[in-house]
Amino acid sequence: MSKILAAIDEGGANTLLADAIASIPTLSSSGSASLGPFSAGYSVHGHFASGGVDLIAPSTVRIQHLRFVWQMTLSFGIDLNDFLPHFCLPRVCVDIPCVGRVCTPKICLSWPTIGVSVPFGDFVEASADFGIDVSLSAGQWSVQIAVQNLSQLQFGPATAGILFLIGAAITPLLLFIPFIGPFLAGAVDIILASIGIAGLTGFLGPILSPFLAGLKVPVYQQDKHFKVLPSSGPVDPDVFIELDAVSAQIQHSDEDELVLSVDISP
Amino acid sequence: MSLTGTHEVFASIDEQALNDILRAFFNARPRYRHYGSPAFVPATTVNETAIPAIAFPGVPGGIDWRIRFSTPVIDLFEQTQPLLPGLVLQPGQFSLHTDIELCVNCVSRKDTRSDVANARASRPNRPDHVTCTKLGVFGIGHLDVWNNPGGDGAVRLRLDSVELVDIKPDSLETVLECVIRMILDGILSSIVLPLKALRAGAFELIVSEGPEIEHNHIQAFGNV
Amino acid sequence: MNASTDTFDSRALRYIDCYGQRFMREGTYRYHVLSRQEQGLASQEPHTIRVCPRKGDGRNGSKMTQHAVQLRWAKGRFAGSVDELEIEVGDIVLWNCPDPAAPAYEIIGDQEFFASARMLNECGFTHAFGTPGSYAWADAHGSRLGGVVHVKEVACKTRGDLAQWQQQLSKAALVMIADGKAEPAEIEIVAGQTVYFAIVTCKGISVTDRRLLGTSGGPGKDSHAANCA
Repeated sequence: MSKILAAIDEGGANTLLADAIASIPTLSSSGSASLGPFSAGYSVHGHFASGGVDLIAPSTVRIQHLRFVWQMTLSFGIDLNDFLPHFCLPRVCVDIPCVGRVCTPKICLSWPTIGVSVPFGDFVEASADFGIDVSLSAGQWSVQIAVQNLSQLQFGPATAGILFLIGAAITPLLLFIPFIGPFLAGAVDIILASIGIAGLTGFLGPILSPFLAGLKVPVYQQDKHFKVLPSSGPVDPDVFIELDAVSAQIQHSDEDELVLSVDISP
Repeated sequence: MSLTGTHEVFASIDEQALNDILRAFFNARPRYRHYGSPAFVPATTVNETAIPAIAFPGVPGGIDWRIRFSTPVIDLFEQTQPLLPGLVLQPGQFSLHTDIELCVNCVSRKDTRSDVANARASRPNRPDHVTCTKLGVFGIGHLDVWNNPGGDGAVRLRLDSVELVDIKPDSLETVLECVIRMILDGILSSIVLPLKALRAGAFELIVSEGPEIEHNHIQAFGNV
Repeated sequence: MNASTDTFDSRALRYIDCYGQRFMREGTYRYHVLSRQEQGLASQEPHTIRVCPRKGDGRNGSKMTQHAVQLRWAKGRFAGSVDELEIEVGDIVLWNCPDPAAPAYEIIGDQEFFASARMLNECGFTHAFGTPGSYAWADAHGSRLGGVVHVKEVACKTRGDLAQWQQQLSKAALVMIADGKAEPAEIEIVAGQTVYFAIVTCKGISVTDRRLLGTSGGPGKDSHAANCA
């Protein structure tokens, strides 16, 4: 078989994969999930940034500190009856001159449900092992690396501050609620405590993890009917060869290299 | 020993793949193997290239001629194909083998009085007296390469010397070898093979070493 | 509720409002309780108040007994805890619908004096103010009557603060409205307290948040001397 070989070492793979990962378009998803005691709707979008590449024979590409930079808008409703004490206006009496004593009845209040919408963003990192996937589809060869294993997600430093952002979004909404004044001081703290960091990461993790777990990075894409030379006029048509087979593996010698092998025919 | 060595990227094409690319080229553009003066090739097409007739005083319309050759077979150093005595394949060189058919439209001038009386009109530019010969050609050459920091680049095959099979006398062989070398080198130098095609589009390669011929491959080294 | 709906209007009673009407003459009085959307569509049977002669002193020796009618909102209409109420001359009836989901409503009697939207004599309107701020009120029927209620913020840091506040809530502030004057025109309460607007006699007024009337600010300088239009 007539063969073309191309090899790239770890240094080159770092650059190649960093460029390939950066060129992946913005990904997004939306839905709802549990945020502590609440059911919260979300829409999230983000992009990837590559980390350090380690080529491991025979067919593993490990990227450490693979980062997904994300922006999210979170929306959920808070039934304040779940967090504030039951409150009633007492029976109120007044002495009206020349009339007598008139009393209003006891009136019990129901706290409203407030809608909270909070935008925020951060990044999440993990170490990912990718396998090499070679395929021919619709007349195009494709070599890509796809995640096979993912380490535990590490959240960026801004994630811890998201609870503060949620509190900051809730506070002005509470100010407008009649009769809430005396209960205001502890209300936000109680609500945030019901979510907690565990609730927050438990919410974010399942939403963000699929982005990393589903990552596929293109390494090589060419048409099977490969154009060697383009036409340069009516008497000089295109020149093509056939890429009959493509294979890719990590080879280890004195260094690790990603090696592409292409069999061609006229 | 790694393929990339001290570089980030390595690319190579073996001689069989190189011959496949050349075959694909000549199959798509046969005119690069077929050349003829107006009697043979009135106009350039995909299949044939028009060349001028050999002008000579007293030969109306010039001497019509045609040259065709088979798709050349390339052997990259180290030698795996037979060569004629007199040719040695050195490191960094390639050898070439092709068969040439050389034809001439061998007409006689029809301008004697009897011809005029017979009102035979001369018919210039019609290949009706074709005489041909076939020659086996072996050559030695080197790579002519260029590349830029942007990762673009190309390779051409340049012919340095040619040996013909069994031409006598030797002086005729020498003359023909020179003419054929110039013709073949001219043809080969018009075939520019992009480096990207020679590596089937794999990776990016900003060349820092090569392309060069080694171990029956053309190979290049560089960075992403 | 939020600040934009924490308004008050005796023409559109909510769950933190009461309307009281004193009946000074014997007779049978019919009335409807209608949501604001139902004006002119009083298809249901009216409620009835029978006012009988006074037999003696009321409770605690007063000449007035208070009767409470609690309204409920169900299946798109208001219903009272009693459809027919028998009282004595001089008694007062107080209406309230404690359901926050109920729409704003008014009491429409079959006599001119008997209407929450246009209060004349011996009646009253109460409202509990839940949000700190200054609330200017006026008469939506065009008189120069008006006033201001200043509602102070309350911050409770301890259980003791909360208990003290709850005790304050049990005391109402009284504004007497007579002959076109509100006395006092400006009052100060804490958030959560109730103001009782007692109408002694007037030519048909409402107590309406000025924000609902498209005007702002407190009453004019001569509001104390203004007559009801």
